[in-house]
Amino acid sequence: MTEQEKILEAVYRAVDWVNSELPPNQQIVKTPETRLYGPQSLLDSLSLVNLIVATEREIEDAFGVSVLLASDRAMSQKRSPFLTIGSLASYIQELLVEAAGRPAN
Amino acid sequence: METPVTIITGTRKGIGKFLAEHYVRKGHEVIGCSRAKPEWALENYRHFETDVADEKAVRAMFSVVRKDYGRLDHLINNAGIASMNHSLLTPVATVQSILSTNVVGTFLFCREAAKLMQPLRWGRIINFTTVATPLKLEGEAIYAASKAAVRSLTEVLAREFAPFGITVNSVGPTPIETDLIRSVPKERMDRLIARQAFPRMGTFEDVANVTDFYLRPESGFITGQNLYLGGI
Repeated sequence: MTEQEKILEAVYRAVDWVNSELPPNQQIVKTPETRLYGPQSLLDSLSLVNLIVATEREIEDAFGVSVLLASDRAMSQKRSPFLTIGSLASYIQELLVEAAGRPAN
Repeated sequence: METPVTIITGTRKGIGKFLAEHYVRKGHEVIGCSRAKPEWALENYRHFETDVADEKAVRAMFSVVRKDYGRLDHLINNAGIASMNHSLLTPVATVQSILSTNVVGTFLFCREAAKLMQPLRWGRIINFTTVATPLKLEGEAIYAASKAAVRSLTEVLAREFAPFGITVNSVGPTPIETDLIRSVPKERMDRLIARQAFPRMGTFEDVANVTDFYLRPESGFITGQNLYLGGI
């Protein structure tokens, strides 16, 4: 399993946790293209907060690294890393590379 | 019922030390912190040498708590500093230091604690305000302002954390015999105490009575509240 796949798995586990609290018609679909906010997203702001916090937890469990997803850097990016599940996973990969002091792929 | 896990900040001495001992006696696993190492130790108490305003250190501390305890039930944000001085003689470094510990530190611990409490859908957070704010105490402008910010933070976080089943309240003690007030001249302290309905110094037990009340499972419908001691 590649690191990117491992990250996606972790995000999907966070999605499962959030879905367990959402009604059937508001379930988050587990694909990289799923929109996390904006008009095409089913998530309300509280569910997005829940998802981000649960993702931080799952990433720490999977990689042993504590990442802060809602950082000044994330908030100031032109294209938000929280737009889709895929962009969130890519952003997490950047943070893990930085935390490990490895050069980016 | 699982053993409750309680974080208390500023436990090296004073109210924090008393509360750490108090909640260990009540059967909690207590985790405390302060910048310097305490000169005491206790079974079921674990200490972190952490500056409450150091984000990296605070997050590292919460990582260990999550890994080793797997849960957090209570947070008591007791750490705080004051500096008695006329505002015209207060250096900006002092202002920054007070705001950093009292406001930034309280916020950081609230944020990280709520992340740990979120999956449990349960939690109790208690912040510390002061009677110096409503009494508009001269010589404590920045301290009083910093605690006014803590009160406001408490009220807003109570709303933000309510969906997670977390209550956020605050307690505002009167002067108590601690290092925090040691530099305040006696006649000024006497004047301050005279403005209370009960004109006496507070005790650690007075504070613990309020924290006990906020932490009770039955207090789940009480949030965003501040309780001043002494009848202010």
